[in-house]
Formats: sequence, C-alpha cells, structure tokens
Amino acid sequence: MQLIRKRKMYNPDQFVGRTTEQAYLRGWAAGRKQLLTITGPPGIGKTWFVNNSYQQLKADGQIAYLVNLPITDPRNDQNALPPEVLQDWASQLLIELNQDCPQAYGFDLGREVSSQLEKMAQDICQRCWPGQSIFFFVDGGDLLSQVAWRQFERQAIEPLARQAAIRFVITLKTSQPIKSFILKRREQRLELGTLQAREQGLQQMHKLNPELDLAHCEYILADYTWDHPGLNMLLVEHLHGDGVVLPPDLVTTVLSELEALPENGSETINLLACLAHHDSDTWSADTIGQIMNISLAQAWEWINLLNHHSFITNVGGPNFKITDGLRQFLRAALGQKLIEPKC
Amino acid sequence: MREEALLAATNQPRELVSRSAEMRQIEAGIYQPSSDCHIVLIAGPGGLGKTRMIEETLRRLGHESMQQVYGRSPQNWQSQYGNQAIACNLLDFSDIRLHSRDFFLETIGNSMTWNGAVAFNRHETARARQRRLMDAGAAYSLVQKATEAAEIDFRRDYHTAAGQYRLVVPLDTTEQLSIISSGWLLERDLLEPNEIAFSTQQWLVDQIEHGRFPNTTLLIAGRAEEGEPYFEMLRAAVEKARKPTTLTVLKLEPFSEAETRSFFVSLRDDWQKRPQNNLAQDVANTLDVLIDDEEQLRLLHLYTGGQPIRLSLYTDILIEGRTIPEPLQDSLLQAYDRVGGDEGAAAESSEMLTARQEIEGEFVRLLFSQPGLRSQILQALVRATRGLKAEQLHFVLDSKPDDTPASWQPNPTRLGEIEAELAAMQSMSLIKPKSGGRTGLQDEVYRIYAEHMNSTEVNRQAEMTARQQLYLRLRDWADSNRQRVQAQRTAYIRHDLSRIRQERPSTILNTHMPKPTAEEELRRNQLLSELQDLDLEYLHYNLLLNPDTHFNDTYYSLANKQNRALNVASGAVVQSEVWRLLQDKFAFAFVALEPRAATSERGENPAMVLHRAAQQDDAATWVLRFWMTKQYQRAIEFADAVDTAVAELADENERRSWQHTFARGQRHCWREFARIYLGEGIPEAVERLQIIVRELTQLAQADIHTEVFPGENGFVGHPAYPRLIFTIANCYTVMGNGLNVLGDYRDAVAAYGAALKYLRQLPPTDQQATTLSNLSRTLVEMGKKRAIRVCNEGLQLRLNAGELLPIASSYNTLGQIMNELHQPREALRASATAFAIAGEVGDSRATGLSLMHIAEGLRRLVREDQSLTETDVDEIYRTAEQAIGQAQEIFMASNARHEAIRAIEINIETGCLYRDWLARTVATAVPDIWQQRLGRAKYFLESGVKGAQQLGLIRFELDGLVNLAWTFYLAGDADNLAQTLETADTLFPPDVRLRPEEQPPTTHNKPFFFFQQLSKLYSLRGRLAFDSYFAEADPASRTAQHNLDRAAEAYVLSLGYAQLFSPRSVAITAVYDALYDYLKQLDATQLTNFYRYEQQQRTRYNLAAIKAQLENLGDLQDFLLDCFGDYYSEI
Repeated sequence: MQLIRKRKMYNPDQFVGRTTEQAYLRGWAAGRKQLLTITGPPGIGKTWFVNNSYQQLKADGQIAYLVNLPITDPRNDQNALPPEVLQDWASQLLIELNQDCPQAYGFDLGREVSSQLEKMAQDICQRCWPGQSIFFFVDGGDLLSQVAWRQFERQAIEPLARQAAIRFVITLKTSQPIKSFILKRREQRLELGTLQAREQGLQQMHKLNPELDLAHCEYILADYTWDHPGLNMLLVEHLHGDGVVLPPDLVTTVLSELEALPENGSETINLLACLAHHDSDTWSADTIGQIMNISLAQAWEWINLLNHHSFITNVGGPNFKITDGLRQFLRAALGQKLIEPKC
Repeated sequence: MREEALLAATNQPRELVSRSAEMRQIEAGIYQPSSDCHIVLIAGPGGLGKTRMIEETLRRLGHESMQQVYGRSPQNWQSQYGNQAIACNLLDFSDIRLHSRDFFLETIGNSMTWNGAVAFNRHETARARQRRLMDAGAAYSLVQKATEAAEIDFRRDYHTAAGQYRLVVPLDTTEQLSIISSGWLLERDLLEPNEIAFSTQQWLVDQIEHGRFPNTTLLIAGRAEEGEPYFEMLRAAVEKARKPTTLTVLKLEPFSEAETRSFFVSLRDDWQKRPQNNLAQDVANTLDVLIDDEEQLRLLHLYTGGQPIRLSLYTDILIEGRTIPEPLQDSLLQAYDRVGGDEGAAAESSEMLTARQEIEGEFVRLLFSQPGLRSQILQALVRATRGLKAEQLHFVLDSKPDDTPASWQPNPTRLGEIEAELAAMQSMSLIKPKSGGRTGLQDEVYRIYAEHMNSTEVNRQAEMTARQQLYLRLRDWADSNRQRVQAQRTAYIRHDLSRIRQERPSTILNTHMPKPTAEEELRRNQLLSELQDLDLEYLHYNLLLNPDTHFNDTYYSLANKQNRALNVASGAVVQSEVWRLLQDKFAFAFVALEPRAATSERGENPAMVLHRAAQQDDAATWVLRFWMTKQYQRAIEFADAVDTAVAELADENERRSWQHTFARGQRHCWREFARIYLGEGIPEAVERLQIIVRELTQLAQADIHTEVFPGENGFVGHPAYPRLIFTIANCYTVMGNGLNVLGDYRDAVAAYGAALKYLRQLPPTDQQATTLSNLSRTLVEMGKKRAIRVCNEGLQLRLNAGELLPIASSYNTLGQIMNELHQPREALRASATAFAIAGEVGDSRATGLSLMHIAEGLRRLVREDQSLTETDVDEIYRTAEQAIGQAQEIFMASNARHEAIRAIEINIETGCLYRDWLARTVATAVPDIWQQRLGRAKYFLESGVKGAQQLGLIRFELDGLVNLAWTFYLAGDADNLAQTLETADTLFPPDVRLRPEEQPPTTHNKPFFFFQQLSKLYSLRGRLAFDSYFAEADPASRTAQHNLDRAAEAYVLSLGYAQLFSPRSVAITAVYDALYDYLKQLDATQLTNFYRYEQQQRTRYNLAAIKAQLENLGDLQDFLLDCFGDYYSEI
C-alpha cells in the first residue's frame, strides 16, 4: 500500500469559494489577536486558503510573508526537530526579511535561534515598519510531530510573537493545541470545513479538468457531495474522461493520497467503510466495539488513530463522525461496491 | 506516554491551601482540655474541599494513607502534642452499607479501622457471632439479642479506648444521611423515631443525645444544603445531650481572590518539585503566567466562584485544552458584561451558568479526545457514579461485546496497568474514593458531564445508548460474580452439611456440625459481605437500565430475600440504595423512563410515579418489618394508621395512588399475615385475603389498556406485573397458613398450589421454598406421602440459596413428615441434621423443633424396629426423654415461648413417649417406675389437652384425648378410659361420622384430623371389644358373639375412617397389624363368624360408597393439583 500524500501546487486560477472564511480572516486582521490558527482535516484546503489569503493581503498592500515549515515525519509524535534543521530554517527566514528590511540584522551565529529571531522581530517592527502589522503565514503546522511543533512554538513563534505587531496565520490539525499558554491566550481559530455549495465543488472540478463529464460523475458517485476540495482534486485525476470509469482501487488510492495511511491501511479503510455504512452519521467507541466486535479499549485505539489522521471529527463528548465530504464519498463508493464493509 | 497523562494538572496541591482558621478550630476541637464530646461540623456546598480538610486532619494526626498521598505534614500534631489523639479511617456515607447501624458499628468497632491503635476485641467477638447468626439466617429475636450484645460490647471497648486516647471519628458525605426512605411515614407520625434505630442516622443522633461519645471529636463533613435536615437533627441532639457536648460549625466559604492565588502558588511549587518533563514545564509556565496576571486570576476566580475543584479543572483546561474557551479569554470587564455583574451579582446567574458550561465543554472534549488509558478510565468513571474497581474497568475496557463475564479471561498484566493508573490518579482533585475500593469522581465532575451531555437531544440520546451498554456490561459483571460467590457459599454450606456425622439413635443428641477453622470462618464472612456488595451493585445497574421494571423486580426480590431471612438491617440497606438512586439526578438524567398513558393523563411524570411507588413500598415493608420483629399488634395498627393517613390526603392523585387496589393489597396482605400470627380472627383474616387475592387477580388478568376497577387498569404489560404476581403468591401463601391453622387442609393445599403457580412465573426465591415447605406439612396432615417430594424440592431450593437456618427449617419439616409417615429412621436423619445446624447457628426455636421431632422419631423407632434389645430400647427412650425435655425447656423458657401450639405439641409428644415407654415396662418388675411413667404420660397428655382447650384448638385436644385414652387402655384403667372416650366423642361434629344405613360423610370441607382421630378411636374400641371377647369363657355365648360383632364393627369403622382420612394412611397398616394379632388367635368357626359380622357391618355402614369418593392413588389429576396447583383453569 502506498503511504503517500499527494498535494497539488497552489494555483490561484483553480481556487474557488471561501469568501466567508476570507471575510473572517480580514476581521481577525483588523482585530487584536495575534494568532489565527487555520485547522481542518487533510485536503480541506488549508494550504490553498493560506496561500490565497497571503496573496490577497499582499495585494491589499499589507506586509506579509509566507513561511514554510521545516519538514519532519509527523507519524511519530516523538520526532524532534534537529537543531541544524531549525537553524537552517531560521537563517533562510532571516535572509528573506533582511532583504526587505536591511536595517534588521539578527545574524549572529553564536546565538541561539530564538534569540536571533527575537532580535530580528524587534528590528523589523521598530526599524522598518513601526506601527504596522506584519503577517507571517505559516503553512504545515499540521505536518510536524507534536514534539517538533512544541519546539517550533517555543523557539520560533514565541520569540517572534514578543512583538505584538507580528501576526501569524498558522495551519494546524483540528485537534492540535497551541502549547504555549502565552500564545494560546492570543489565539483565534478558524476551522475550515467543506465548500459552501456543491456548485462550488463542481466549478472547481471544471476548472481542474474542463473535459470531464461532470453529469456522469455526479451520476455514478451519487452520494458524494462534491464539496471537499482535496477529494475533488484527487477524483479529477482518477476519473477518466471517456465515459468516466471508476478504478476498482479508487478508495484506497484517494485515501492514501489524501492523507498518508497508517500501516494497517486496509483495516483502516474497512473500518471507515463500516462506519460510513452505519445508520447514523455520528457514533462512538461503543459503536465501533459493537460493529467490529472488539473491546472498548481497542475501539478507542482506532478512534485515536483515525483522529490522528483526521479522518474523523469529534462532534461533542464521546461522539465522532467521519469528516464531512469524506463520509459522503465513502457512501458513494459503498453504493458502487468499490468497498465492501466487513463487520 | 505517562507524562502526558490526561488532566494531570488537576493534581491536588500537597499543602492545604488557606483554611488555616478552620484547621485551628479542628485542632482545638481535638486537643481540648476536657474529655467532653466535641462535634466539628464542616458544612458547605460541593467541591469546596470538605474532604480535603478531613484528609488534612488525618494527615496531621499521622495517618499513613494520607501521608502517602500528601506527604508528611510540616504541621504534624503528633510531634506537637504526642500521641494524645488518634483517628480512625475516614468513613464515607456514600457507602450505602454504612447507613445500617450494624455495618457502621462493625466498621467503627474494628481495630483495623483504627489501624490497630486501639483494640475492639469484645465487640469483634460479639459482632462475629451476630454476623454468623445473620449469615445463617437466624431468627430475628436471636439476631436482635446478639446485635444488642454487640452494641454493648462496642460501647465498652469504645470507653476503654477513650480512656487511653482522644478519639477522632471522621465522617464524610453525611448529607446522604438526610435521605430517609421513610420520610413520608415519619412526617405523618406513623413511625416513631426509635423504630428506625437500625439506621446509622438515628443511632448517631441517639448516641450523641445519650452522651455516649466520651473523649471524642466527631468530624462531620457534608453538603450544607442537602444535609440540612440531618444537621438540624444533630443540633437538636447536641442541645438535648445528657453530657456536655460542644458543636462547632465550620461553614466553608469559597476561596477569595488572594486564596486563589495561593492555590496557584502551591500548585506551582508542587510542579517545580516534579521531574521536569514537557508537561511539568507547560504546567509550571502556565501557572507562572497566571500567578503574575492579576486580571487572569480575578477572571478565573469569577468563573470558578473560588471553588477549588472548579479552579483545578479550569486550570487544566487552560493548560491542556485545544483552545482557551471564550469566556476565559475575556477581559475582566468583558466577563462582568457576559455574566451580568461582578462576583456578588453574578454568582449563580443563568449567564454565569452558560459561561461555565462553555468552559466545561472543553473539559468534556478533552476527556474524549485524548489517547491513553487514563482517558478510557475516566470515560467509564464519569458514567458509573457508583465508582469502579480495577477488575470492572478491565472487563469494561478490554472485553469484546460478545464476551460474557463468565467466559472472559482477565489479563493480569493489563489489570496491573489499570491498577497502577488508578493509583496514580488518586491524587487528582477530581477523583473520589468510593466504597469497597472503588474509584469514583467528585460530584462536580458528574454534574459537568451530565449537564453537557444533556444540553442537546442528540447528545442525550447518544449518551443514553452508551450508558445502557456500559451498565449492561457492569450489570452482567455483577451478576456473574454474585452467582460465583453464591456458588462458593453454597459449596461451603454443602461441604459443612456433608461433614455432619450420623450418630446411633441413643447418641443422636451428639450430632453436630464440625466447627470451621478461624480461616474458614473469615472466608465465609468475606463471601457474605462480597455477596451483599455484589447484590447491591447488581441492583444499582439494573435500576439504571430500567428503573420501572427492576424496582418491581430485582429490588423487590432482593429486599424480599433479606426480609425473608429476617434481616431487617440488610433489607433497609437495599431500600436505601433505591432511594439514593432516585435522588441521583446526574445518573437519572440518562435513564430511559417510559411514560405511560395513564401517568401522563394525570399530569405526572414517570419519576414522580416511581418515587411514590418507593414510598408505598416503604409503607408495605414496614408492616412486614413489624411482623418480622414479632410486633404483630403493631403491624396491624400501623397498617390501619396508614390507611387513615391515606384517606386524609388532600392531593387526589396521591390519595388514589395509595388507595390503589395493588398498593392497598400489599399492605393488607402483610397485615392479615400478622393477624394470623397473632391468632386472632383467623377466619376473618382468611376471608379478607380471599377478597384481596380476587381483586389482585383481576388486575393481573387484564392488560394496561383495560379498566378493571374505576380508574385502575390491568397490569399485563406493566413493569409492576412481576411484583403483582409475587404479591398474589404471597397472599395465597398467607391464606394457606390461615387455612392450615383452621384445619381446612384441602383449601390450604389449593391456596399453596395457587401461590406456587404464580411463583413459578418468577425466578426461584425463598418464598417458593417456604410455600413448598408449608404445602408439604399440609399434605402430610392429609396423610399424603407426596409431602416428601414437595418438601425435598423446597429443601433443594434452600440448599442452593445457602442460608443455614432455612435449610434447618426444611430438615425439620422433613423430620416431621417422616414421623407422620411412620418412617422413623428417615425422620431421625432429617431432624438430627436440623438439630446440628440449629445448634451451630444457635437458634433455639429450630433446636426445639428438631428435638421434638427427634424424640418422636426415637419413640417410633422402638415401635417399628422389632430387633432392638431391651437395653437398646431403654437407652433410646432415655435419649428421647432427654430430647423432649430440652425441647420443653426451650419452648417454655426461651424466646420462642409465645408459640403456644408448640408447647401443646410437646406436651402431647412427651405424654406419648411415657405412654409407649410404659407399654414396654413390666408393671410388676419395678412398680414405682411403672407408676411414675403412667403418671407422667397422664400429666403431659392432660396438659396438652388443657392447653388446646384454652386456645380452642380441637385438633390438638382430640389428639391429646385419643392418646390419653390409649394410655388408660395400656394402664388397664377402664373407668378413665371410658370417660376419656366419651369426652372425645363429644368433640366430633355429627357430619363427620359414619352412620348405619346412611351414606358415608363427604370429606370435602371437613378437617381431615376428625377422620384420623376417629380411626384411632375405633381401632382402640376394636381392641376393647376383642379383649372382652377373649375374656368370655364361652366364645359361642351371646355376649361373646356380641363382642365379636362389636370388634368387627369397630375395625370396619376404624378402617373406614382411615380411608376417609387417606387411603394411603399409615394408620391403616397399624390397624391391620393389631387386627392380625387378634385374628390369628381365632379358629375356623370364630373366623367365619368374624367374616360374617364384618360383611354385615360393611354393608350396614355403606362402606362401598366410600370407595366412590376415595382418593384414587392412580389419579394423576389429584397429584397434579396437590403438587403444582390448578392449571386446569387455564385450559
């Protein structure tokens, strides 16, 4: 089984919807909270939204930077950021900032990364753009391990955030908290959901592949709502033009491209199929225990795993559901017998 | 992952925050100059740290367990004052068993509770005896005495201990003592407070009033509002106290802002001392920020109301929550705005509650979104308010849905992990230890979770489903375990019984049960206590699963099990469990109570109905309780007083409900039961029972949509149906008892049969065994051998239940039956077993009965067994004399003395013994002895007759007279014999006699004993006639022929009556034996004559007609009706 995660580079021409969310972001930008965390399940369009917002803010004449995060393996929560990776990352940022604000010079290789960043923040706020907000768009917080994210918060975000004028837009997983209490107190959250309307999704599909027979797609995946941007993108690639054929391994392929599947991928897909097959949209560990005939503890392990991979969302107390869009897609696949739930 | 353990930031500060003034008051209340009793009442709303203050007191007093949790206190009172004062372990009234005085005394009067610092030897010994009696199901009066003795010994031990030390008794969750199941009755003065003295609640108040806590500090903590009714009782007791008693009331206030800050400082100090991992850093950093941020502190204080548990929880939300809930991001001004004012104004405003709910929502989310064992444990705990043990958690978390508790194999490693996690969780402020080693949560946490899950219908429904599943697992777990423990108990009992050695007849009184070793005894007690706990747990989860059904089913049968065993205290504990659950709004929020149309029409909800049903059950239970405590008159008066109070109820719904045929029927059934025991107006009691039964049966036959009586619908499909069935069965059994006393055996059998028919619809209970036992006694009175079969079934049921005394009672019945059936060896085996058990249990009544049956068995053995030598015979009679003598003593002098009938029976049996012995004694050999035996036989039989006359019991009077006549016959006392026969003759009603040229009497509706006694009398007359015949010199003379004819007539009648009594009657054999002995002396002519006379007499008395109405031994229908009740009516 492929353990890959496939992402399409941001392309402003293919971006659709999100007007409400943009308005929310503008509201935040005009307010006082220093952090806006963008959360949501994989493929929902966090990266594209951040890119789009960044461009819009830039176009509005704001000072904004798009910052990519150092990469680690998120599957192990204990994977830390090696110091040299962080140092490289910081150096690049410092160089970029120095280009726009030559008065800022945080370069001092003998000092710790955090001190360098703190110094740089002070410089850009006081020397180059006093009285102005400086926006950092940080994409990929959801891709770091827990430990790495904690480090990053402490050593990168916190030093920069000491300057109230520096504002952050950060993508995180839905369940991921900001660890630092100081930052947490200045945080505002925006949970990205599916697109507002089916039409937006179909519009996206058309932009991605104008040749595709959309009416036929809608017919064969009748239960799918076409409002999940990431899924839409993957489906465009796998549904073939002439007559639209459903590849037999569509679910596995799409899911593993959406979010790197865990090692027991086929079991995971089966469980998701069973849950999608379940009468009610929401369910709990008890339900899993019952339908899979496993213990409550094992059911919770599954929930934690599915949650970790953001295939499911907590909807209050002990209750969960498969994330919007994905759930309907799985139902559509069940309808087409692409998956047969064994439970 | 341990370092990331969920809610770790809710660990309690090691040092008590603030509360120094209060601690000084407690200190002063303990280390005071006088030895007066001092009560320190710590009252306040939930979550303010009342328990923490008690724990701190114990910690400062050097209690090991508290030092383990919080470390050694810097303010150690022991080092300051020395060992002046000692405390027992914290007693928490959330353990429902502590509500029973017996259990409370057992706990507080146990050296272990005091960690060995003082000894309660006397009490422990006395209590062990009391427990053994209760375990065996001994008679109430016996247990009662043992209970009193145990209490006296407790007081003696307590005094001794109080002479050495100042004793500190910490009591927590005392607001639970305000929950009184008999509130309705007490409010209306239908009960006297002293009548509920078996409850700790009343006992404590009494003790304080009587000044029985010398040199003691009672540290009583409880929620102020809920506990107020009880605290008021305490205050009144202190005012009335006979010895100087001080009451200090500590009203706990929430933390002030300054104290809130101290709380955080204390927490931070603790965290700084911990190993510095990520969590410790996060927590310490957050606390640092909070401590320095005045506004944030005030904000937290505002939203938490300064309540420590909330503070701790909200802090954890700040640290671990995914985001900071909006209200906690407010500025102080925004917050005031949100909740509608500052602290004073907004304390409990609806806006404040909304804000709290929003904050607490994050806690619920945390609970269910964090991986790890701790989350899983907390998820289970938050739904199981009774608390859970590691084994239960293991089962709930790790078994598959199709695993049953019996088939499931626990994994010791995993169990160890759960135990370790539970141990690590004990220091969390959310955790509250519960009874029996269970871990639970603070009420505040249950509240938060319940409110959150109740906030939307979707959540509520999902939560209900999840809880049902959990409760089902826990119910099955409890059920499986209680069955296992019950099986162990039964195995012990069977093992004990199998070790009873059968003695020779002459040494039968040496029969005894082997003494268990101390270890075995301990194990037995443990099993009993485990079983009680599991029974309660089983009840608890069943009630949560379906309160309607299980209130009527599980609760009722459990309460009945205790009540049947005459265990008032345990019965009350079962009742308390129901009451507590009825008041537990957090648990009840997710219980599916099905509304019934009739209820809604009255504008009532199912909870109200259940509550009232519990009140009505309490009233009916009290009638039974008075019966159990042998206060028959009080039972009748009480039942009548309830009726009067009900008639005066203003609320029509309430009145009608109390007057409902079913509710009324339950109370009245027990009332009539008491009446029958009192021996007054038995025929009326039977009539009333017949009416009750008729009405209840009508209810049981119609469905819930059909109106049976005005405003009362049928019960088919109603949750109380099983209870109705049980009540009908009960009424029938009681009616059977009444009919039995009246000698109306046929109707009694029908009543018992009806009772069994209903009982068979329910799981087996002791009620069934009791009914079977009663039925078998009645059957044997009718001369029916099938009594053995029926009695054995009852015995098996009781062996399975494993209560010793009821087992003894069944053996006694079996002994009695075997004697009646002239099977002395079997009778001796059964009654000797009963004797051994009764001796072990120390129950004098059962001992007395068994001795009586032993004596009879021995007497009959001599008659039956021709192989015995004269020496054997003498020895056996001597043993019988000893046995019956002891029985005499017991029934005359012991607590069983009120049983007049037993005394009569014993007198008659004693008389019979001396009579039989007399028959074996040669008059001329030792005339004194012969005279003496004759005198005694006469004396006891006459006493029996006199006693029977006084009570108007013709049956016993006749029995005595007939036996007396036989005595005179054996003694050759013709005058007295003639006179006795004449007296006896007058006692028979005309319609029971066989008359020449008339149809034989019908046996229907006539007491069987008339026929039995007539048979015996005519057998005697036959002997007299034969004796006269043989006395004649010329067998052909007119006189001689007349005597032979009379003999033939007497034997024809004797056998005729014997057949009317029972064609299977053993009396028939006895008559034939005697007749044979005479006939073998006749020659051919004489025999021909006898045959002729027999033929004439048989025709004259129409004996052929008897055959027509005789019980046909091969009649299956008769057998079915006798043993199983009337199912023909169902066809």
